[in-house]
Amino acid sequence: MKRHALAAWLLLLPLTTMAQDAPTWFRPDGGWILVGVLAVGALVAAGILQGRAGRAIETRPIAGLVAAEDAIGRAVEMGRPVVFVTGTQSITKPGTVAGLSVLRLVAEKCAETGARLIVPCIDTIVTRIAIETVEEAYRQAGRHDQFVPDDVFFVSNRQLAYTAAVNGVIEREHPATVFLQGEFSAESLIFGETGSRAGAMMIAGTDKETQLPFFVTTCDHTLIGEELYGAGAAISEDAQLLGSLRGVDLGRVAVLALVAVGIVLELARVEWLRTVLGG
Amino acid sequence: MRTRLPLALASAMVVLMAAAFFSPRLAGAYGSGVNRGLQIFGAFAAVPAVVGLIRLHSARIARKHSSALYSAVMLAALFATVGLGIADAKFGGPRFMWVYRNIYGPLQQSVFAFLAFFIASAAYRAFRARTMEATVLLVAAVVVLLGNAVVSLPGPGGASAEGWLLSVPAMAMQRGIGFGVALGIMAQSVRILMGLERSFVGRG
Repeated sequence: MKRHALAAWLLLLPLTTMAQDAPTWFRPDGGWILVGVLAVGALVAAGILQGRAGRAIETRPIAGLVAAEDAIGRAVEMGRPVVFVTGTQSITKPGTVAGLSVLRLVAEKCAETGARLIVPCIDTIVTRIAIETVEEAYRQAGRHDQFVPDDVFFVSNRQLAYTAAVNGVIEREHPATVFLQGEFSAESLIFGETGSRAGAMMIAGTDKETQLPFFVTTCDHTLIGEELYGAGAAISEDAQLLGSLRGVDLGRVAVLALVAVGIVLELARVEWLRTVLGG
Repeated sequence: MRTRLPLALASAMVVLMAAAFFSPRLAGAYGSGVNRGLQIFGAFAAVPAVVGLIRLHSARIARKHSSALYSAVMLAALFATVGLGIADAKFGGPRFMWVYRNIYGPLQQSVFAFLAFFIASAAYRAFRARTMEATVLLVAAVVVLLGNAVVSLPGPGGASAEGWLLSVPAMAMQRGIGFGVALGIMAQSVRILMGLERSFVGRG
């Protein structure tokens, strides 16, 4: 009990040190955002609980993920490695976490088939997590002896230094397959073109709409936006994770319904919805 | 314990940071502390990361790997930069900044300049009018390029054609993807909150 009280006191300590003229407790424009977040969060949680209760949930196949298995098999046949890039951002970005989910699945396949997996990382924390992820995948496949720690390595935390180094890895190692999964910036086109010229099968995925055209142009398969976030859950066959995808779909229906209502109201010159939502 | 503690901490942080988004007062109290905490974690993680990097390249040199020369250059650059930084005895000293401005800066700009050539080769591949979709893409690209460089074509509603293409069809696509990404991030956050998303602890 004393421990809990101490933990609560430590958590609340920063609040006690604030000045009298501290900012407000609730942002004035946050009301409808909070309603939206709670509504979508409740739909996702409900989907997860349905999955936990055993309700069967089907998902559509994602072309990029279906191709991933073939791409790893291709690497084994050609005797060439697989290169995986978890984006160029830190672990604080949601896209990086999603990229690590895909890394886990790719590492499992590589461990099962014996394909060599190379993971150059841009962030020191992501490097540590990537090492743990790949090592655990090899351990669970019963092939821990084949895990090469030096194949998952930190390169540089500078965007273009990292880009140059990854290009060097692709040029020298001649990978059969390159996975680009996470958040990317201007380097997306450089990675895509270098991999294509090296003859690698390219499977990309990002949530940055500004980089999607570059990936669609240069890569064989691209996971677009939300597909990156659903990839880990879609392949895992875990009922709870699949349930979360169902929640997302219900959220999408709600958003589309709101958009449809908004269009009708705007065409009828009724500005009520726009006024309520602060537009 | 090795998995449960990080998952519990992550769940707590999801609630705290979501609350901080809606409450300027909480953001003021916790925001800078969380950022400082991340910097400290990053500093701790940097030690094994840099040690691993040195070990990897040293092994390549020892094995006379085909890329041993590059490894030697990398290690020389790493130790020289660290040495100059220590010799300056402060962050951003004159010797360190000389390396940054005269070696690192130009190298960085050179890599960035590759983009121009890569855009040209990627555009060539994308704009080959082999399918209906590629033809539409080619026509749209030509209209936008002409509009921004030479002459604007008239578009719907009195707007320029390139302006309409960017602000209506392209914007609609971006908004659609944006909605999907927002929902995906929400689902990921709920999975972290409920302890189902484990990729960030390396335990799948």
